[in-house]
Amino acid sequence: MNRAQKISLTMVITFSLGLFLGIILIVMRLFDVGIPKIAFLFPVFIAGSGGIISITCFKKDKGTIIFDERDKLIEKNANLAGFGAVYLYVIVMSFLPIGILGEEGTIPVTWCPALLIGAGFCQAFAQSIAILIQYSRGGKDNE
Amino acid sequence: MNRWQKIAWFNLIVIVAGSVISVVAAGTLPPEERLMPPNRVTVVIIISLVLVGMAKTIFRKADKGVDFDERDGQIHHRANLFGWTGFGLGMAATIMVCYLAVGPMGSFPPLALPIIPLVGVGLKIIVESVAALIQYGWSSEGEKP
Repeated sequence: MNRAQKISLTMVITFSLGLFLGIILIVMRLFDVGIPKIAFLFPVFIAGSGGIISITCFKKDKGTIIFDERDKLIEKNANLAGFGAVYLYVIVMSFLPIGILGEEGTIPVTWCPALLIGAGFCQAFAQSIAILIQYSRGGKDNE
Repeated sequence: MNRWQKIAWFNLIVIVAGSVISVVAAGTLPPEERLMPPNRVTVVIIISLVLVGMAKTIFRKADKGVDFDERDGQIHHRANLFGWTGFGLGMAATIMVCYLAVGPMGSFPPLALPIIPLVGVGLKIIVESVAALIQYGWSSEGEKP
């Protein structure tokens, strides 16, 4: 497994865990279990920890070729997949509140930055999945 | 001027003109209706985006010769990345404007939310077109006849 795959796998695991915890917290809040709002920062921290782990644990190998043309192409496609996912996410998140709250509802402006944070996470998540899928197509050739 | 330069110029002109017309159209509406689609601003934005979507049909491929080579692919990829950066910045800027318009404790109707990705898409197209034109050149100057 190369460096890009390790980073992507860590991102996918931490994001999935963060997403799962977030969904659990939202469901618990819907049933009035008594979850404080600050608890919602925990899944965000878990999801964000993927980036920190990747930077600190997976350093570049010295002296060997770690990035060739194929890696460049994979990175390019993964970038585009990430941006495409952000596009879909933003469109869904813009129209979903209209369906849930109705045309007469109101949204606090403080929710807007959450749209950007979510877009960032969505980009990294989709990019990581795209990288893993593309490398897995090559079989053992990436080793 | 090649096909991609023409498409970039077309997209740039359509989006800039569409933005100017939608700002003028918004000025003719009462303040409480400006951020409430569907209105004439939405119609202008949708027409602009449809025109941008039709650019490749309007500027058809040449019957002879290579239309898209590796250099074009590289230029497009770079322009695309710049465009997506513009998309993110456009969204962030719209959110800032929302903050300034309604205040940190304010709220707005959910119908106004689609404006955020619409501005993002507009800025993406502008940045992408400008990036493509910078790389290809703004005119047909220096091209072989």
